[in-house]
Amino acid sequence: MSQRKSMLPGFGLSLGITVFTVSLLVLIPLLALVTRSAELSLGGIWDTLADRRVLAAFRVSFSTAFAAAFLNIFMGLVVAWVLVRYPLPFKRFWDSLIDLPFALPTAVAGIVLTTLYSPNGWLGQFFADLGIRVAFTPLGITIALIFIGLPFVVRTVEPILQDLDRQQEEASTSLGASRWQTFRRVLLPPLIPAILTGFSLAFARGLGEYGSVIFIAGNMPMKSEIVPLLIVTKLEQYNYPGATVIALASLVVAFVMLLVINGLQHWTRKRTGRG
Amino acid sequence: MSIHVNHLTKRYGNFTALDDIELSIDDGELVALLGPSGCGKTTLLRSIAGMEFADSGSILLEGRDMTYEPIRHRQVGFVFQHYALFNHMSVFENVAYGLRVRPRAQRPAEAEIRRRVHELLELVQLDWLAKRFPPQLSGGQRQRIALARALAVEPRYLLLDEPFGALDANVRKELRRWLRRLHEELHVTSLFVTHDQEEAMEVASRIVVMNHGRIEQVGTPEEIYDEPHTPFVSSFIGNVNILRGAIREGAFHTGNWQIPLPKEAREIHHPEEQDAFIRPHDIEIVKDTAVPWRVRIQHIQPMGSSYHVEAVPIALNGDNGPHIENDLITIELTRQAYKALAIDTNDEVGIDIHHVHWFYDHATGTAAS
Amino acid sequence: MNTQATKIQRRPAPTEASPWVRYLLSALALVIIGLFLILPLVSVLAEAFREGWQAYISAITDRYTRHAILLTLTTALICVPLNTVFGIAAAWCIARFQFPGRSLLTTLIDLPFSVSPVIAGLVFILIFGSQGWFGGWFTAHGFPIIFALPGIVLATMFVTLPFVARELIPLMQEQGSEQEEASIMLGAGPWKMFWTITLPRIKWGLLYGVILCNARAMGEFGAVSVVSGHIRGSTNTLPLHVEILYNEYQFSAAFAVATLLAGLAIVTLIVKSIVEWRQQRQWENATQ
Repeated sequence: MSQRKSMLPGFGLSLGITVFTVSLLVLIPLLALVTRSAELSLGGIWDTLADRRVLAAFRVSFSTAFAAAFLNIFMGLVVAWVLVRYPLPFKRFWDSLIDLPFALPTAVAGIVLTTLYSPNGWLGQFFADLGIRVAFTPLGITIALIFIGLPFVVRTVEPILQDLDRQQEEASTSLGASRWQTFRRVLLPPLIPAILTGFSLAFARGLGEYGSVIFIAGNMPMKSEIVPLLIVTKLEQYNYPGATVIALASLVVAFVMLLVINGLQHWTRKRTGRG
Repeated sequence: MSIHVNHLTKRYGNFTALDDIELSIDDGELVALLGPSGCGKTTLLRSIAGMEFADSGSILLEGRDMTYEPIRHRQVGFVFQHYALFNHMSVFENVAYGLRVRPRAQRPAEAEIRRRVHELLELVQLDWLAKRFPPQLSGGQRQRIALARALAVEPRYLLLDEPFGALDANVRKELRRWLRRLHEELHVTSLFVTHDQEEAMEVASRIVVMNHGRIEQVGTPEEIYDEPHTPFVSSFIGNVNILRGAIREGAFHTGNWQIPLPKEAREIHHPEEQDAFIRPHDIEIVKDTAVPWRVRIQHIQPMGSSYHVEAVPIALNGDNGPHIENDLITIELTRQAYKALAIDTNDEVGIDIHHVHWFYDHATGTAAS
Repeated sequence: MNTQATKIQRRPAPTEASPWVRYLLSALALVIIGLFLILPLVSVLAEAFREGWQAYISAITDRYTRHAILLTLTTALICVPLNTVFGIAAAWCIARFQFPGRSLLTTLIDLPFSVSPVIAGLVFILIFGSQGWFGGWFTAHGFPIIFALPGIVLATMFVTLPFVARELIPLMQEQGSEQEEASIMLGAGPWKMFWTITLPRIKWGLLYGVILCNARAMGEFGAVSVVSGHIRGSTNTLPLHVEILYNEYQFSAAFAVATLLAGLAIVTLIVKSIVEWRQQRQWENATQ
């Protein structure tokens, strides 16, 4: 049954275009990254990566991306839940606004968030009163990454929420479960794979995000310097090997994380019998 | 407009979809490809249409080898299982499509297209739907439009993939009759795929029964039912009781029951395994206590025009009874026979077997089951 | 859209949460949307007009701004059509055919989404930069790639590569190939089939992908920033121009230019909503 589709035309042409483009734009460039790193000795690679500033940058990137993606799980779930289930005036408007972070150029997001959260900005002043500095600290990075990552969770959870079978809820209620029990035991389990997908997408995006972060981060080495910025810094110093090694390391680490999350997702999907 | 299929074989990895298929269809026939899902019937249909290419063997249309010929040279009309109507085009445009996509030189004039499409829509009695879009039609209407669309290019062969599969039972019955009449009118060589034996029996003049990529039997509906060639055909077409036993000394033994063999089978000696296939209506219930085969009636199911009686064999003298599939014998009685017998559940009655299908290999004398 | 039906459906069922939970969650959701989405958008406008209309107009009609607009439009005009053709081709072979390496190809197409834009820029420097594999050759032949338009185009194409394909692959897989097969059975040639069947059926999904691809192509910052060299009046795109103005403490001018990009985002969202609505209607029609 698998080769049913062979009668259709255009296979050679479409595959040709696709493979050519992917090779030119993705495969060869990433191979360049790997081979250029391989030109370095292992000792050189180690020295680059073991540098305190590099390690600190990785720590900042990972912790802020993780925190933002984690917070987005809850915020995204609430937003998706309300948008799918509750009557709300101008719902279509709110819903289309969710994609703003996808559509708004990151540089714009960066400067506007910085302005909002700087100590004399509209929001920053409230935090300043509480003695909290947001802009130019890891907290500011996290806020920028929450902005960038919010649509991922909302958009992955929404369709699943829409497809949930009302009868299951009614069955749960008729069997005597409270509203909260129904949510926790009947509604939440099928959402978990989608939540994990949203989380991993937001996390991956957060690790690599540059434009919206560099303005608000303050970019203090050891404190609020993220990995992508470090790569740019190395490039500006014409330290291409250093930039390459850090780039490759961050790619590898990101892929390992994604693999783990995918595995986890696969596991939960199996357990909850979805997909 | 005959179709000849010679030694057609197709594999998908380890799965053999078509295994050395040999088939001839004459001009103007209406033939059903019948079999369970995965038996290769759709693959065969699609191979004839040119939508799939076999690994070996050939397909001849009107005596010309068309095995590797592109679809547009085959003059085949194909009706898809789920209709495959173009949802973004009106019914009219759907039917006109095959004419409109022709190369400019062969394309009929607009007025001619109009005339032809309306003629076809009248043929399928849906002219009044010309301006609608497919999503606005019922399943039966869609099916008829799909047929009109396939006929618009004046195909020499009409191939239909499960044409009634997605329809409600009563719409299906109506469309079957309609298809048969349409075929009588047009006389296009037609081949349709179905997994429904009733549908095949009702519509087709000949049936090709397939299983596991092979043709089990080709014949008229009567032949297929009355003289099945293989155990598969016997059990796939209609109901059948299967008794498991062995052949010794010119008779069939199952437990301590035995059935004498027909004359031509007397010389068979197969002491290991031989099944006997008995149609429910080939068994008669007799109240005579002298009849050696005794059963107890367990359930009586009125089926309208007939009655289905389920009975359990009673072992004689504590001996082992017959080995029957499902441990139940199903007997079909006519209404009159049932009324005349006046039986009830738990009655103990005798049975008389009128006809048995035996399957064995004539060449080797071994059982074919 | 049948508002009547939606209203009836929305009436609280016996399984609904108590009203105060509903109000609390709704309020929370609106606070999140307001704080994270609406406030930034409003703030862009407020900052842009902080120094008045005059300053705003002069900021967006500035020579360098005009050049940045031109460069951004040129980049999008090259990248979006190319990626559209690529997306259709990729979706066609992946959704319609089985072949070895199909899932690997799908993964490679998705890859740019999980690669930092900075790395996307970096890889092209490694190939075409002055110390890169082919950089010397191209520069010597008077066709520099890095710190020039070709580099910007390459980096932009890299980051926008998945948009169209990713939208079309699931759509075409879901649609199945029966209608295209029917078209071929009725005698249509490949291009006839494409223009009469394939394209009309995917047009909304395609438009959706193209819109998002365009928004990203015009707004890309990280990847372009690495390969462009920030040469004002030459390789400065709109987002890079915003950065330069901001870093020079010309905040109002930076925000004025940013309003152009925010406007692009809003137009994108509006078109996207319309497309979604049309798609949904088409789907509803198809499943009636």
